Amino acid sequence: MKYVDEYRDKQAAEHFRDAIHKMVTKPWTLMEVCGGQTHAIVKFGIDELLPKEVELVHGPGCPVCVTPLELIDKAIMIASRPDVIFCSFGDMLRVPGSEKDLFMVKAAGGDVRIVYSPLDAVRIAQDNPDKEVVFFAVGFETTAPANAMAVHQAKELGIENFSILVSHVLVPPAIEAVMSSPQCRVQGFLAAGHVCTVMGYTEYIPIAERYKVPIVVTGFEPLDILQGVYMTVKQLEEGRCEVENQYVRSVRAYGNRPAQNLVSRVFKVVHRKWRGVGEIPQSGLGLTDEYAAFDAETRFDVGDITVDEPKECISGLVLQGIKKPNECPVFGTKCTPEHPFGATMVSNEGACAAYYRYRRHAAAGGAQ
Amino acid sequence: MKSVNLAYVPDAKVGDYVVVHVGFALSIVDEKEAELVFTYLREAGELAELEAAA
Repeated sequence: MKYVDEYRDKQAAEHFRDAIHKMVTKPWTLMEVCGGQTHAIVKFGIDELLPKEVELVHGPGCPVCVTPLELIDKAIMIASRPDVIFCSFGDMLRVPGSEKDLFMVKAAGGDVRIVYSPLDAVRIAQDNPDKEVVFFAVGFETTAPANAMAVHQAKELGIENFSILVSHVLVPPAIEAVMSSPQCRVQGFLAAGHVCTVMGYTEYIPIAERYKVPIVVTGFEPLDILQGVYMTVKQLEEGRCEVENQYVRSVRAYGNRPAQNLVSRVFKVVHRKWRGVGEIPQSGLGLTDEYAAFDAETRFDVGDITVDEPKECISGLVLQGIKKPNECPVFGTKCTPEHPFGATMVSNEGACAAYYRYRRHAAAGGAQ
Repeated sequence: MKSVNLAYVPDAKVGDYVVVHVGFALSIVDEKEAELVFTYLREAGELAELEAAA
């Protein structure tokens, strides 16, 4: 496929690998923010191509993984109601809540449906006027334009039986949280190419300056990631800390303005709790007053709930790049994708799931 | 076949490649920029060959 195959070219990849090996003089720790990049790195073994001086740690950019347990439990409560059709991206269904997951709700007769796009959920609401249709709106900046459009369309079309359960998070405050942690080892970031396709990259400039870290906006194919690593290591070796753009074929400095305009009309910036990390100020999105009627949390009075996290799960440390999945005592033994303890083992973008799928056997020999 | 909402890429034309996420096109792929990395690699490759020959 065009724009995919050529970015997996072996010779080109070897060129970047050799260039990184030639350039590096000191150990550097880089974090890829996005779970999609984590998956590509582990799948293609990109980290194993790099010189031993360059370590990649995996970041918090998996929306399924960071959705707080309280919201999973609220989703389960709402989805269990007989008057509700609960719609979600497929990954969310296996994320463990305190007692069960959404698949169990479905198995017990709940109407839980997997959709590809939030607009599918709007259509389901149109087709089922006697039911309440709730969409689980999780995601980073990349997904916000789609969810904003779904709510906007529902309002314009007067679809009153549609609402969303919002768990939207933002990348820049997460980068700041990682850099502010006393355990932080990260010296450079590969920023998420699709988040920046929507938002542009100007908001990263003050972060690069404040924390003295290079930030390179990077794509998702192996060659993109190798070039992103090359550009980041080059900055570190030269003592620079700038924002650069590797993913130029999709990312423009100011992002996608029409998408930003609708997102800022439908959503406002709010404090959000991140699973495994805790509350990060101004780190997420909630509905603005104009669209508040579409908020499932107020439509269904689910109230305050107490939650119960499994004690053995270290996904919070994995999400902050402090530990690798195979350093967890229950990784691949008690915790597997079939019986996940934490969300990082569930999602396609979760670091634990990627290690389980591609590194399980290597893990027996311990961390590399 | 999946349908894709083009509301956020008003300039998209037939024949363009777009980056799609959950049913929405978010950007038009810039063909010239997409080619740049390969131009760079070709030049670097030719340079390395010259160095090897010298």
